[in-house]
Amino acid sequence: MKIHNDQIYKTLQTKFGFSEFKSGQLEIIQRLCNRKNVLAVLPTGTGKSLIYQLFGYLINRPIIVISPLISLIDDQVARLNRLGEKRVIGLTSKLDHNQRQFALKHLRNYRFIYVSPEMADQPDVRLELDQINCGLFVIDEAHCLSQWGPDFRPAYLKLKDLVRHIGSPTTLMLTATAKPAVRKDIIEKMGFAVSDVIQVVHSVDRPNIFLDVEHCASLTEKNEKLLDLISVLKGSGIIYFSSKKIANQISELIAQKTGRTTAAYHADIDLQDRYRIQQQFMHGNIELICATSAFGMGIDKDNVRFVIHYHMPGNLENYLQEIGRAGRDQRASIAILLYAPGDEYIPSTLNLMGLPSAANIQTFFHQPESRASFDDDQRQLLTYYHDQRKTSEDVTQIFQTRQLAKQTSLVSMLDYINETDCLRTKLLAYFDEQFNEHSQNCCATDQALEKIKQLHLDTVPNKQDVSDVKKQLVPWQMRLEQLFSSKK
Amino acid sequence: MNKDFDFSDFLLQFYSRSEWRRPKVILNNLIGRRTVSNLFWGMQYGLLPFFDLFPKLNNENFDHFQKKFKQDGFIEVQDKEVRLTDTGKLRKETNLSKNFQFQFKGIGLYTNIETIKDCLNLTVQIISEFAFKNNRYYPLQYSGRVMNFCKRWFRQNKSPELPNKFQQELSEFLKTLDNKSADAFVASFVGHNSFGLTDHQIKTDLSLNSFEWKIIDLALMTEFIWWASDDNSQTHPLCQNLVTPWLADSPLSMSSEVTYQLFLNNFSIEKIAQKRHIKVNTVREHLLEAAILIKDFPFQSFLSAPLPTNLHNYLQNNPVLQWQFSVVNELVPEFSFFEFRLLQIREDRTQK
Ligand SMILES: [Zn+2]
Repeated sequence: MKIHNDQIYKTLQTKFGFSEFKSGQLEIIQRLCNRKNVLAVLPTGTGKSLIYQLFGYLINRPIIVISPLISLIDDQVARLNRLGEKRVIGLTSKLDHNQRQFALKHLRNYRFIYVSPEMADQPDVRLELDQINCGLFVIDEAHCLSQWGPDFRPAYLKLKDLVRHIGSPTTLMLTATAKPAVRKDIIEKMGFAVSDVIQVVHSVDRPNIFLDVEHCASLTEKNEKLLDLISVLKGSGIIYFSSKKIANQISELIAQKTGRTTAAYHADIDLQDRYRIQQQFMHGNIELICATSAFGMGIDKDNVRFVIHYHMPGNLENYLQEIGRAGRDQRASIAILLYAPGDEYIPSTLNLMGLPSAANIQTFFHQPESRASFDDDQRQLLTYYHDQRKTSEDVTQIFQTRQLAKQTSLVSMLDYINETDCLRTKLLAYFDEQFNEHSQNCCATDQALEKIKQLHLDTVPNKQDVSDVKKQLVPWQMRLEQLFSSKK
Repeated sequence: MNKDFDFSDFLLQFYSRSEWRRPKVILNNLIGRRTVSNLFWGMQYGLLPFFDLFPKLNNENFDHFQKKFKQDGFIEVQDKEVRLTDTGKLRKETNLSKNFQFQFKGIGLYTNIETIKDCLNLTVQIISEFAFKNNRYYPLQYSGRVMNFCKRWFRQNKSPELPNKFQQELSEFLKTLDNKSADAFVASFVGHNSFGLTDHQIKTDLSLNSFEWKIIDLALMTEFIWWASDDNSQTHPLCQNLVTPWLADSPLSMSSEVTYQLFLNNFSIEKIAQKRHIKVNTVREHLLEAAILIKDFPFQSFLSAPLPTNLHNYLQNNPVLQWQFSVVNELVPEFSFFEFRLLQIREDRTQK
């Protein structure tokens, strides 16, 4: 397909409202235009989805996007809606029978089709995917293909067959973090030769994010430290927790002690409230979000100044992903990890992706009526194994193996926490990147408060973004006017 | 008023000092599990007005409250049944007035409040963005059914006057509320450049705890649903069209309703079973559901003959909840369980 750069830039402007590409985007789009398979490793926040979305407008044929989590799919669908794109569908278990039939019947009319690997493997879905003359096959979070990675997802292994079944369209594999061994594995698991795939690999490093680990002697000290940090740090921030309950508690504590506007954000918060919190956060009405890790977040906020981990994540891949929400505007930002002895034993840290317990697997297999009570993603995974005629014993075994892999990842996370030398060197080494340019703007341990001042993160960054309007009820007449009356 | 009103106080109203009751029935009614046995006992425990108000409540959560009640000495437990202690009774009575403020009138038998709430929220957003001529926005994400319904509703009602008309209709409803409630009702709406308050923000502003706000929110939504669906004078057709498609005409399940209509048209139980290809026993279950939920159920169709004296005396001398079918069966062997249940339901009706 011959496509001129002019046309690519024009689409960027009309569909997305940008005049410049972020690094890596244009190069990959050009490769795709030349029908090359691409494995792209681009750090979080560099606009990976824009690549295939823009390509979708150029090629004008349906794009299939494999995505691992329903929350991520919903999020992408909503974003495209926001860009004014209506021809987008998330094929997930949230569709009821009729909607699913309708969607499948009209599949070729959609521009973007998001689907989980398990759903893509169902016979009726496979059949329809074959009929649509797919313009590009995208595998998001492609590291899920690799058994070396902590997020291995068995159904990804079937994508190799699927892509051939639907006529081997150009394939784009996207991930934020993948070491060379993992990249090789991804390509192999997709059944490509290394020479079939162009690798576009950008450093996972985000130089504008200062790295810091704070070692606290106890939980009390950790809480005090957190409050101290928050009293000094200005601007917007995200604090990560491994438990919903603690996220709630600390959110309250922060509001009481520092008077800053906070909100807890996790799976128990209902959908509308998540939406309101996202929007208020984007507009600076809420300054701090207390979120649980591994929880998809539809926030495109450029000027998050700090990410604090109250609990560490279970592996460095997730850590990198989560701190990547800071400093997308390329300005100085800070990532602070608070560690207290024993944190590594917090069960959810060990079990980050929510692998079901042996007892739950039993229940799922032997009491079909219990299945509704499992969360969407667990149910999808277990249903997949169930349909593969695995027994609950097999599945328990598989998950135990996964558990071991997770523990290995956790050890690397702890190594990072205990690093006495340059944190960035340590972090990048895990992804097989070398780094030896440590400076005073790079990293530190147990010096967060001083470093915040050094980086000027204790001063108000951007006046108009910080609002100290307290959120209050307004008279209903006024509220209705705000909502429905455009003439003011 | 000294202590916050919370979910446990709401639950306590369904326990009794004098009767042993089954917590499972309470849970099943609150999550809207529709079986004749649940409905029957739900009627006895005064649960039907609250049917399906808390569909997300789960076993684990519910058991947590049971344990807490036991710890606090509010209930005593025997097998799978529980009864209030004197302390529990006192606690229940302290909050009785608070519980009485909320009128749900069994709305959960007709619809799922959450679904209509989702619809209203999404419709407000769509109309608001439309008013500002913006079609690039993040729509609220609900189930596919709700999303499709709202899209269709919007297509059918789209006109330049829509925002204004809709605002008028909502105003009309809000005027029926006190100002504070009306402010709260609209506070969470999402619209053009206006993202609404979270539950947490609203309850903080109103100085309520989470449960108090949750139940007020449910009560306001209930008010809205009854108001919107009742529109003889055609003053708010938009809201009516939004709500009534989700609202059943009858509190019965669809299948029970069909059976009941056939029965009203003089089909016998056996004929209905034949016609519908269902078991005779299922027909009886359907009719029991109707007896429980339909105000003018014709009990005399089944209970027309005068009761034998010995049975009459037994029933007279015992409170309805202590009637034992085994005893009745011994006194009058031909008396069926179906008739026995009908008798209990009728008795409960006449007492209330
Ligand atoms: Zn360094």
